[in-house]
Amino acid sequence: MILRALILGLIASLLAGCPYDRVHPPYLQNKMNVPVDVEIVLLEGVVSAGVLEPGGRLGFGYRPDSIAKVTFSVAEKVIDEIDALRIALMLKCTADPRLVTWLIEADGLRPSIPCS
Amino acid sequence: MSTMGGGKFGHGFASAAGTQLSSVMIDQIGNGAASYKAHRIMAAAVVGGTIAEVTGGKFANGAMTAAFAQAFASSAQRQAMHGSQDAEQLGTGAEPSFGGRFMRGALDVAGKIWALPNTIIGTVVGLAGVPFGATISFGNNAIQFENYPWGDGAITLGNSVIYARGTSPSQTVPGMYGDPRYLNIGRHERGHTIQYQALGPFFLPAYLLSGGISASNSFEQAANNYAAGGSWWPWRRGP
Repeated sequence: MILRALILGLIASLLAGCPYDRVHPPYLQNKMNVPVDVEIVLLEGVVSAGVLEPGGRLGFGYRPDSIAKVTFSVAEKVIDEIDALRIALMLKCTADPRLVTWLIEADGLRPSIPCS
Repeated sequence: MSTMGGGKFGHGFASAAGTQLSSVMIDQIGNGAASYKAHRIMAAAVVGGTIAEVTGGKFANGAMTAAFAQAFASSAQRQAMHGSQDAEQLGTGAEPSFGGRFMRGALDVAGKIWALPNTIIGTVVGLAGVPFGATISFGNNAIQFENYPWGDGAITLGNSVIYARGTSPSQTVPGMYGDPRYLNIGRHERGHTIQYQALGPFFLPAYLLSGGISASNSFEQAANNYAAGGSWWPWRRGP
């Protein structure tokens, strides 16, 4: 009886929610051999700054429509900056935005596959 | 354990579940000091035994199961709070003695068995993606399914983690559950696998009761802390 209730509870839990950690596109990768400083500014003003090591991959826990601006810089020199409009365009690069990795290079971002 | 002791499996589960639900209070005994560990195990045994008795089982079996669960959780928590990074995982911490290593290995295996029902579900779900391009690897204390065709992000079920297409265990993810830190998703999921090993079949109900998929969920905050080098246990005390 109790075991049956626990099994039903387990199934209900599975249906109601389990640790599903969203990682939103655009997905990026540092293709340079130096670390890239990344600064995210949200529409609500929150700033999130960090470093992406060479070869490192980046996704967003923030919803794309909550991001105002993302700045990429190397040694305090900005190499690219994407705002809400450009993020929206990046997400429309292909029908499935998960298939594109945006490569961070010295002259800015470029898609890993041609946009359709 | 209850079955081996002559009781019914369900009573053991009920005892462990009840004790887990009471663990927040039990963990406060002696303000969590190591010298009060025996008191906390005894309290858990009394709670577990009483629950077993009330639900028609044997007091002794319920008490033993709950005491084991409490000792298991507190040992893992202690490792997480004071050990090296790997010591945060059940049974793999740095320990000079052979006995200590053996005990942690045994705890790790016990945790994986305890989490096995969830691992099986996760593995079945993961394998369903293989014909559609999903790949299998091992890492972060789990069997990992990458390039999974559906969803965006990662999901952990026991010692099984599914990464949707575009997401990988090595990915850095700022903003997970509103956390501005740049955290590794693989390590975040590894934190969940250890939570599963501690709570077994009670993880999902506990996760749901803690708020489900939300920034306020203690399990997600703990997994973020683990990814940042801290503890995976949601109700840890101290720094």
